[in-house]
Amino acid sequence: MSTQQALNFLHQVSPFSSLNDKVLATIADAMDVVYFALGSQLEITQSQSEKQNGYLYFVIKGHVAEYDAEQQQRAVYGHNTFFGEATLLQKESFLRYEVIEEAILYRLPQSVFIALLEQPNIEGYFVDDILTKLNRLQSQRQAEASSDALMGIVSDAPWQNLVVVSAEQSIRDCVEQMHKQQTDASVIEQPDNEPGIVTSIDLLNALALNEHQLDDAVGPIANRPLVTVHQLDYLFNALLKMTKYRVNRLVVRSDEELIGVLHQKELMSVFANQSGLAVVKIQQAQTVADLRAVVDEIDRLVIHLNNRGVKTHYIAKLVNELHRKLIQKVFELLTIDRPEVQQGCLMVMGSEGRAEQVIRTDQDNAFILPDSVQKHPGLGVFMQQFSQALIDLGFPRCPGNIMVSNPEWCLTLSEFKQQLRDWLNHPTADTLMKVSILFDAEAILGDANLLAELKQTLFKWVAANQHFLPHFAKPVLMFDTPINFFGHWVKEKPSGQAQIDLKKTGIFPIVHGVRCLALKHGITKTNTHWRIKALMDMGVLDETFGFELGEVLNFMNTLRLEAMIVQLNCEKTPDNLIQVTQLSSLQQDLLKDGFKVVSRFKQRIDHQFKVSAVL
Amino acid sequence: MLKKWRRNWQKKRLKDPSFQFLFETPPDEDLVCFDCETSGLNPKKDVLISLSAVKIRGQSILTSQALNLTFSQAQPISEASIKVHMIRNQDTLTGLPPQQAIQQFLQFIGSRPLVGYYLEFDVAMVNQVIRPWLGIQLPNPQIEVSELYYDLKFSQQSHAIPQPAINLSFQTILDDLKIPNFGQHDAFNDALMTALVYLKLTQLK
Repeated sequence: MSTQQALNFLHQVSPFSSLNDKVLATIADAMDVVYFALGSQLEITQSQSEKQNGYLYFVIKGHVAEYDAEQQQRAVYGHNTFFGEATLLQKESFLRYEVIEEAILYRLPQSVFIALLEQPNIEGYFVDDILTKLNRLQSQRQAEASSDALMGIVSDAPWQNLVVVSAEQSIRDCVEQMHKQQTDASVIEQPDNEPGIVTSIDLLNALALNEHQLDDAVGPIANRPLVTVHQLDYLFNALLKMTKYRVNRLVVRSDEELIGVLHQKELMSVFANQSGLAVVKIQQAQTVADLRAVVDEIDRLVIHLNNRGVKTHYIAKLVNELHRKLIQKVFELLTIDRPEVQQGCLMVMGSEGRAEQVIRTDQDNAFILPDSVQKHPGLGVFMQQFSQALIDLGFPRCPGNIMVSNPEWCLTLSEFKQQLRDWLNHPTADTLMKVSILFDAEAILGDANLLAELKQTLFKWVAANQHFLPHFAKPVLMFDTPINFFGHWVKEKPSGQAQIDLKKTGIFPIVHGVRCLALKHGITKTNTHWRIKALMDMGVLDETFGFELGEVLNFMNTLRLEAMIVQLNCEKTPDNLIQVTQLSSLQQDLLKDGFKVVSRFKQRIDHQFKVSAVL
Repeated sequence: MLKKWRRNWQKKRLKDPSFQFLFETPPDEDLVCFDCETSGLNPKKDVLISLSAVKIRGQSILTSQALNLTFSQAQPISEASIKVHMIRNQDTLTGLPPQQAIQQFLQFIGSRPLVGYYLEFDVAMVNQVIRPWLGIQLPNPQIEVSELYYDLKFSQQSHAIPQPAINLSFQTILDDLKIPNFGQHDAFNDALMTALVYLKLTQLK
């Protein structure tokens, strides 16, 4: 209470305003208020600062003029500025201040100020020379600009013209067309309606190395499938597609047809300075330690994108793709001299598998070895190293120990199938949770067919054992919706604070309900939004309700993300509790409506799977 | 003379010798400015809800060593009173029993002079707790800022005929002396602003 006004004051003074509230509170606690009448004199000398009894002064009201030893007036300080740092940092040996309009000041002891210099932002502000300061500003701008660029859409980027030739046309025709349109790639129409693409390099190789003739048909050289991107899609999606499929060009399409070619070169030109981009840094990393900086950068990106109002779904997509790249890179770096591991399939599961984890809360991963490969005795040790490397990078240990370092999650395909059947045949809360986590798995490295086969086993079993789904769906109804019959909040009150657990009461029922439907209908997609879309396409969910459900999920995830960012800023471990009182009334209303949708969805799940019968 | 006698008489009535320090010479030149929020305006029946005190040393106000006390309540605070000071019943749950809180206050002030706005009322509220317990009233010298302000205004206007009425409301004093608004009127902010009023009035002379 006593420090609230000092805290509010500091919030308005750069560079202190960039500190988190916890640090600011310690400064505010140490500040005294000083009054100086008109004409008062104040000297700050080096001997004071050497004796550690100097002060940094903040002007609350009034004006103070600064004079150096030669009696030259150098500056005038007014509201929300501060002075005295030059002598405290021993840059000046003597400064005299004269109050030219009666002044009320805050005074911060030297020791507290010096301790603050350990904060990078503060240190940067006071200690760096002007060049470093400018560079810092520049890199901050670049970070902002590159996230701006990331949020641009494909039509904003320069494309190359589209050239389309049919498969029967000759290589010569194709080259002529490309030359005329000044482009280095051409879409090839194939008789089976699955178009392909040739690039100038493909054509060169065909002619020079593979003994094709200029009059040969261009069809056989074409690469398929064609990787396309919608003209209204985000640029970061385009970039992700390029890295995911390891291609340099994407064919741009509108709703009706193909309209152009986006080249990586041109895409990169949009991102003014590529070195700011995490993707590039991950690719360039030589050691696991190099990746550490990228992890922090991703966290900043999350906060930045969220501040800019980007939907949490898209942030999650971007961040998860980056996290997967990171995990892949770690795995690659550690397996360089272990060929036996490279034939397996590394997968991420749970929220990571669904691409819904934004703030790293835990790691869920597993590894499948093909049956043809002997389990190497050193495998266990290697997996320990791998899990530890991820923990060191800031992917917290999974509380349920669902990690490759646990032998239960590092098996050959047939062992995995057997274990899955055991779980299904002996359903307990624990095994059902493991089935859920596994069902959300996505392969990120190695042979994805191994995982696909494992999931097929799951689908077949579920189709043959219809009694299983009601049990599986039970948790959807486990937590009551925090809205009562009259539309008022029912709050958890452990300490008299009105708060609700958004994950348990809102997000989880949607995610798990959608998961149950996906399992029933054999949908292999893992992201909840994609599952909802697939269910809409199949007619399981009607359009209106599907969209509502997706938007509610988005909204709740955004609230949860914002609460977590606030908690991280206060250096607390993020939890899932939302303080209802801290939401705006609009947010509260939206949340109430959201919970109504959740209730309706729960009723549908109950009805569809007859869950109440097994409760 | 009368003061000295009163002091000695009080000193004799002190029930607990560990509070002798209230009658000794102050350890330093500091003054203490304090303000409290109460359940009403009658010192006989209303009770303390919160109290804040800051030391004034020379021309600085030691907000970093401020004392902020909340009092636990035997009776629920009335709605009308909550609307004035914005302290809800919930906020007093972590408060201290009056005697324990006032003991901290006495340790904080020692025998230093007290500064306040309508100090008489705040002192009466404290006396309400210490009279039955220690058998005394606060013996500290008291400095009333509204009197200082009145003296200043009177000296400025003493030649005017007829003598104008001087408005002594807290807000008028703050506005007139151009003291910045530190926000919500709670005990701490009021104590801080009163201290600023004091500093400004004494420096003007």
